[in-house]
Amino acid sequence: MEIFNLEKHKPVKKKLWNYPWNYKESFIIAIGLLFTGYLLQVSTRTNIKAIGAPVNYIIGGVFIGMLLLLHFTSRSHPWVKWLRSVPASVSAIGLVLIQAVIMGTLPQQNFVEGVKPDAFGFSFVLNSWPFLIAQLYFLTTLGLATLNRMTPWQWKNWGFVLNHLGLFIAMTAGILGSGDLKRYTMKLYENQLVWGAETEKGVMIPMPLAFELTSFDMETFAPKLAFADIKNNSIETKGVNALRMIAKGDSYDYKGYKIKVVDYIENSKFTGNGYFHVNEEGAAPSALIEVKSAVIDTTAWISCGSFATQYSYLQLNDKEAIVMLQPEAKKYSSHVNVFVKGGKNDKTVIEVNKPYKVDGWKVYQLSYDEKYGKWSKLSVIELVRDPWLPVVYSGILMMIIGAVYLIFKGRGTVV
Amino acid sequence: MNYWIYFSNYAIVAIVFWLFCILFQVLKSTCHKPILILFFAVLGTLSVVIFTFNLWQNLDRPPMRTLGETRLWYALFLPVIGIITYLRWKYKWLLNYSLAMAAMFLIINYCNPDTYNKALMPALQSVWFVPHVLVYIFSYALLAASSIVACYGLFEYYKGNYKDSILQLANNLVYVGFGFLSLGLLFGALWAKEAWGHYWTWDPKETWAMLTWLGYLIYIHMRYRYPNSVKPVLISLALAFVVLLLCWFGVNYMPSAAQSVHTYSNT
Repeated sequence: MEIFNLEKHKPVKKKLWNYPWNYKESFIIAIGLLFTGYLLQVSTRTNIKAIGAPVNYIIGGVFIGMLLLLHFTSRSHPWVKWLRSVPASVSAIGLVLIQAVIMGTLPQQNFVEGVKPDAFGFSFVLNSWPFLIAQLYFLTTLGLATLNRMTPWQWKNWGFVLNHLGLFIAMTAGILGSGDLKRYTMKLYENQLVWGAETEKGVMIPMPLAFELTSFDMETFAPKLAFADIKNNSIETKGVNALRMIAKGDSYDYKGYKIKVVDYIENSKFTGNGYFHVNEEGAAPSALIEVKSAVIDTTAWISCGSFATQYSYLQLNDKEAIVMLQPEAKKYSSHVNVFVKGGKNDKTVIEVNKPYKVDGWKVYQLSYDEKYGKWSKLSVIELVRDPWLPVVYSGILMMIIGAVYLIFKGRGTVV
Repeated sequence: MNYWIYFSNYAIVAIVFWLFCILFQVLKSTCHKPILILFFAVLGTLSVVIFTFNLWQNLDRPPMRTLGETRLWYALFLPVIGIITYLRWKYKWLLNYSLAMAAMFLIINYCNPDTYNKALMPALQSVWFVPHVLVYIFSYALLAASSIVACYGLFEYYKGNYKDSILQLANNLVYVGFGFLSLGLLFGALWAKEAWGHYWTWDPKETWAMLTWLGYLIYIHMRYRYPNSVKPVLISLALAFVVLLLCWFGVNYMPSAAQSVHTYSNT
């Protein structure tokens, strides 16, 4: 049984800025970089934009070239040694961490014309100098540490290299690639051929592909019963039986009320004295419910209504009512014809989580006209082109293998 | 049928078995019979496993969507980790701690019952859903255990009877937990690309997930560099868990949360 000995762990006294640099020097440099970042931000007030091809390729090339040069020409220089050391990486992680704390805590604004950005860039950390510098410092320490373990190659280092090189590749490609990322939306109305797409800023641009929506399909879950507070206009969500999905024949207790769903019609419309099944546009779900308590014993129709039919609820007292919530989407998809300029035509279904690939673009199901729900005649799709994705993915794949390595190595890692 | 109405039965059974487990450690006649101690720890955990399995069957979707459901998984994984570490390293206090934490999560769920909701939004209907959430909660449970080990280590350190084996245990838990945490993060990135076309959008939840990752990364690097240093690494490990908790629960209360599409729903 070894009792911990304080004396053994006292670091050897070393003057500040004497080599090799350690935690103290690293943190002073990191704080200096942070300070420089804010000074640059305050004095330039810039909102750094992602840079596209070919400049991003040049920047990437220069950066990696610089790391290689540093490594192969000055591998044993005390500064290079320090840059790839653990204290430097810990201070770099700390610097990124500070920026991420600000980003994760304060609201980040997507800039709208007329809103004045704050001086320190707290509301646009991603595009501010301090974050850029933190990333640069992080990638420099990471890159040099990786190079050091890769040359000369030793098989025992494969786990380290997968984790570190993977992160370096994924991060560098992610940052540089953001300038080449294209993201457009297209509004498709039934039976209309659409060639133009909209950028994030709302500018219409012509596209090399066109889509024609033949139909928009949507399945919904059964709607839910809810207790509503009439005074606050809010929905109560407490308890095991709150927000229970409506099913014919279901009966249960909630807050002293015995509730029974006598009847449920998925597609119905209101006509005079009740809801009846119909097979037409704008039909809404409705339910006949029986509610019993010490003071109430009643049966009533409730419905969430739609643009075409009436909405009904059951008022219990001057504070509470039982309402039916709008059904939630289970699945929605667009059946489309695809036309590629000078290429093949295609017919496909675009669904959430099942994007369609065409000509270097990935096409996503984005949204629909919520007011009309499953009767929407509009489907919004999103077209994304991300030429750096294969590079980022190769980094991610390396990290996944590296993570599995960590899990299996785990137990034996006491250095 | 709403399976949550049976929750209290399973929770009580689990907690009673776990109390037996702790009781047998105290009694002189049984405290040297690890089989008996393990038996009751496992029985209690089985009760949670059976409830979770039945809930999954009854919901027709993975029970991983609401805060209450994630607490349930936590109450399942923590005792599993406690039992494994007890089997492997014979840490009674860690087993008891994990049982107590799991019981606490069951009690929180009992006081804030989850609602019966079969709905699963289309973006969550993905092959990545189950692996993403499971590896995350499992890593949370491991890292929670590691941070408790760190606090225990600090306590022993100040009392003057710190042993190296404490930090070794913490390290083992962190490596495995960090591996799972990385997998959760990366699976999430791949899923997001399939669902929204971007693997990383700096959503507040994602940012805090990265912060958690960075926190444990700092610990791993510090520990690697000075395997003999104790206090700073113990403190960094205890602090990393604070970041993890902020990521899990705290994000909902931050000014940035309004922009998040990622907060757990309560329904």
